[in-house]
Amino acid sequence: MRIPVRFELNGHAVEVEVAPDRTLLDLLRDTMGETGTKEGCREGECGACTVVVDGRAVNSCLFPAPEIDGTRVLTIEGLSCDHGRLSRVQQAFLDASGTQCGFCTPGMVMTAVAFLAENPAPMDTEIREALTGNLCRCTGYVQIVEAIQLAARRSRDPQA
Amino acid sequence: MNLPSGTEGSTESSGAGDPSYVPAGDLAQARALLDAPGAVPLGGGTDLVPSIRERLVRPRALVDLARISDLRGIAWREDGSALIGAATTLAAIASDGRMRTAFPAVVRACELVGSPALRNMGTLGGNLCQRPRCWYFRQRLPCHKHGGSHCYAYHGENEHHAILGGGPCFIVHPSDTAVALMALGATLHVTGQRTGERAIAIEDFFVLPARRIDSENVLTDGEAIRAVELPALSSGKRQAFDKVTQRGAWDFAVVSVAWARRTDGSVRLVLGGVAPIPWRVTTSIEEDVASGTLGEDDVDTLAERALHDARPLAKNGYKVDLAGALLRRAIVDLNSP
Repeated sequence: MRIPVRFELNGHAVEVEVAPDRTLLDLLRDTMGETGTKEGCREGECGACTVVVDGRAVNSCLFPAPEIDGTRVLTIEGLSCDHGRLSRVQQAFLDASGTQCGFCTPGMVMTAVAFLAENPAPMDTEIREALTGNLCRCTGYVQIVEAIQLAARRSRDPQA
Repeated sequence: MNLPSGTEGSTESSGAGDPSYVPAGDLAQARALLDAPGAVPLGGGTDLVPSIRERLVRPRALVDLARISDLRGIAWREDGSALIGAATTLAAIASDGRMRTAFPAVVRACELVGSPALRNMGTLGGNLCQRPRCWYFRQRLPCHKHGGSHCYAYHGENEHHAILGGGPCFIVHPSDTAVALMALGATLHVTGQRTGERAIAIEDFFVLPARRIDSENVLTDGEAIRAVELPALSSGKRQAFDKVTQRGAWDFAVVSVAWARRTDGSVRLVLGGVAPIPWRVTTSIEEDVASGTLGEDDVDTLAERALHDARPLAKNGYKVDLAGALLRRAIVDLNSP
């Protein structure tokens, strides 16, 4: 059985067919070839697969692919569209050393993007709460929280 | 929802081929679709998708309920009672302003489930119907729930298992929202093609393994939760939900507690993480807590009485102490003005 789905991926209209037993992660990586979104635990525990659907962070590894019909999806590939220039959150991760091995980074960045859209001036505790579903085994999280604070500050003052 | 490698892409998912997927447009259509053999309701997928992967469930059809507008959102009656659609996400409930004022215990339970991303996907109906986390069950050992005649936890690694109501299976129910909803005396509205509409008090929804082993609730094939009703009698500030976890976040409850002093003065007190169902303490204890000013000794005595029947396994005796501590705190809070 193939289910036709139409959705918006990083600003572009997409029309594909998906199998009922596939997830959004399979659709993004295998069908669309967008491999920036990572597969970690495949159980909703690590957050490496986080993407933003209709403004909300979700675990794409658990998201049934047929349910993507009619939605707007933003992945890590959709952030740095301006001739390879990094988005504000990506640049802040780079500047604050919020990334080491990098495997969790796309999920961390997408969680941060959805979070900052709702809470542009967060406290550190709120950032930590937002990141509870994103595991990082390298950084110890301190630099990641700093990166998200830096992105928040720069959204208010680009010189920060 | 990929099958484990080796079977991927084959027709072996259920012996009956890969499941089909049908989005239900409305409730009538959902009832008809769910009436087919092997049809299961699909909400956010956060428990069903891994359960299919682990082959705990082998559905022939996934009936997507998430698009049915009647199943989404919160309706308020004039008397102040609320009707939460089963496909409403936990994030939507937690961020609802009126819910935060009227039913803060439910909001807190929703806030403490999993991670933000899981709460953005997971629905209330799905949270109530999620399968147990027992590692033997999830590993598909031939235990009672898988048609066997053995509980591997009973003599095995049982630190997370039941201290109350266990036997022959010793799972604990994993839902946080169920504990809060039971403290508020919620009613579940259930719908099915053959069974029609049923209103089930939440105490009657969950069943002990001694009564039913293949499921944790009374739903029959083809039935699904349509809505959860919270009575006006249970609204207000005098309620709470709290849970103890091993990790600071994104974890199932080791032990949880929910309580409410309702507007008629009655008290309801429920423990989670200790039994195969949300565990409401004996009515006489609730009545004693409701009856008036309690001294420190009374608080201790009542908490001990509530756990009198606890029968810990080899590795979960700590849950008795933990549940006692949460109960004492709840009883003190229930008696503070």
